[in-house]
Amino acid sequence: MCVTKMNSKALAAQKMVVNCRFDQQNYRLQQSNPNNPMARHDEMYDIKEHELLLCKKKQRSTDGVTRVQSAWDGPIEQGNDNSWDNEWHFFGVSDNEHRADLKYRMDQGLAVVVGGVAKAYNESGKAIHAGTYLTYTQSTKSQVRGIPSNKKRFTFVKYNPENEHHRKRGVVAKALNNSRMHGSMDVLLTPSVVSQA
Amino acid sequence: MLNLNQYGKRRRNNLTDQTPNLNAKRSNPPASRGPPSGSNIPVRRRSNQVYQMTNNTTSILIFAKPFSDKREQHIVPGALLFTCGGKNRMSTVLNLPQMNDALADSQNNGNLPYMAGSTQRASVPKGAAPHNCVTPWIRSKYRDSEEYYFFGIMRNEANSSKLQRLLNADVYGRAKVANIFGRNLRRGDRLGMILLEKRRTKRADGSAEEDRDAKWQWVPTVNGRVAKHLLDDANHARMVDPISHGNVVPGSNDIDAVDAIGRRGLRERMFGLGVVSHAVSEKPTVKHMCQALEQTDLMNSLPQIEILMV
Repeated sequence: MCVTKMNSKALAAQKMVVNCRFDQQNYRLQQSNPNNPMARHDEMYDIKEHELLLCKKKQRSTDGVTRVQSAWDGPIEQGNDNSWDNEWHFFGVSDNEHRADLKYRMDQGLAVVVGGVAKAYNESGKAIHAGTYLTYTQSTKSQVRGIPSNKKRFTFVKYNPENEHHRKRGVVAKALNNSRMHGSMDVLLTPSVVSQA
Repeated sequence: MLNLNQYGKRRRNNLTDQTPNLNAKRSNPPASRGPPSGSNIPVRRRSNQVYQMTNNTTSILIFAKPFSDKREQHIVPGALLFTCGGKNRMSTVLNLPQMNDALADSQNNGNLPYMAGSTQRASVPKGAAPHNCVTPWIRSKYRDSEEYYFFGIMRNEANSSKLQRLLNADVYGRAKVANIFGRNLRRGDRLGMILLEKRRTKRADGSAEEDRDAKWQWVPTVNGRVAKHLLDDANHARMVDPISHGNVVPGSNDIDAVDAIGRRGLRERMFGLGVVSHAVSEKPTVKHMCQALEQTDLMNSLPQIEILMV
């Protein structure tokens, strides 16, 4: 099912964009997991425009380029367990698409917005208003065209300081307009307005 | 004789040498003796671009909902904008004195004051919550209030209408803001706002405040500390609680009290505005800056400084 209402175009505003690479190693690990029902669907791991990207805090790479991914199979919030947050953190919003595969390419051409104004979709389940502090979590169900509805991707969500997971992740962005559920919005990516725990 | 082109300018390859090339018969070019000189690198000396691609401003349009007392008409360029989103594209937009008014009203247990020259009470039905403050116990005090966030700094008006205003607000990059931060700002100072308790004497429209109890208010910070003039001049500023609940005597910026609630606790009550990039405008008086936190007219008459919102 796709969104029928009109979504806004990406705002032509200043943003800081960096090149990074798709996390092929983690993609391979998730695919080789026999208990993972989504492992056979490559499309689940494709990176689409305006998707939130996360990266592992500890990465081993010889080229110094960050490996990112847009999907995570399985829950990331289990009670007060912060083990997932200890390993992963927010990186940015994708500026272009990338198809998930294991083939090595010298230049993947994956660009990520890490600062300034970017466009994203509100899949938090509630309306988000202008100025709201945002952090991230797993989306419920995507209705964006071209995204599998059961893809476990990430979405911006209103920051709640009483939620331990939110405090762990910190504020990563600020909403710049009112956005209904499944609608698009502009966000200002900020280097953690409120420091993380 | 100079070799001129049709525009009367010297050709680029003649910029370094006017003499004929004596080594024209040499087959191989000479080895490089260092970085290339200017003759091979095109240098753009003329351009239609009238500004540098640095410190650019990102401005966002925001629809301001009208009030019955037309308070939205008092928002002028350089004002700090606080917004509360609605169900549609329109948002309730307040400037800093109006925001401090709304914060005070929400602590009056619903006893909203009368509007100036009117028998109607001010229209802040649910009260306002300072949601840029992420301290849980302060947020819990405003659980039923409408959530206001700092949005940006007003740049200009895109479209004027009697029904609503379409405001252009700077959210990133270069902006000009009313100077409520101090008389001796320097380039590189980091500006922000912090939520502290403070007594009030005036309301945003200039009328007298009836309730003189201490209220949570947004006040300016410079380099992570409460602005110096608010602490030095306690008579005008009426700061009850510079850092935390009565731990600090007004007039001191006691670092021990900062440690008492922790650096993190202090940061949670603050939000950043940006970095001073140009502050050589006229210096406002301390009284003017203190009263501008409460009265819109005084806020609008303050000189402005240029900051870089980050």
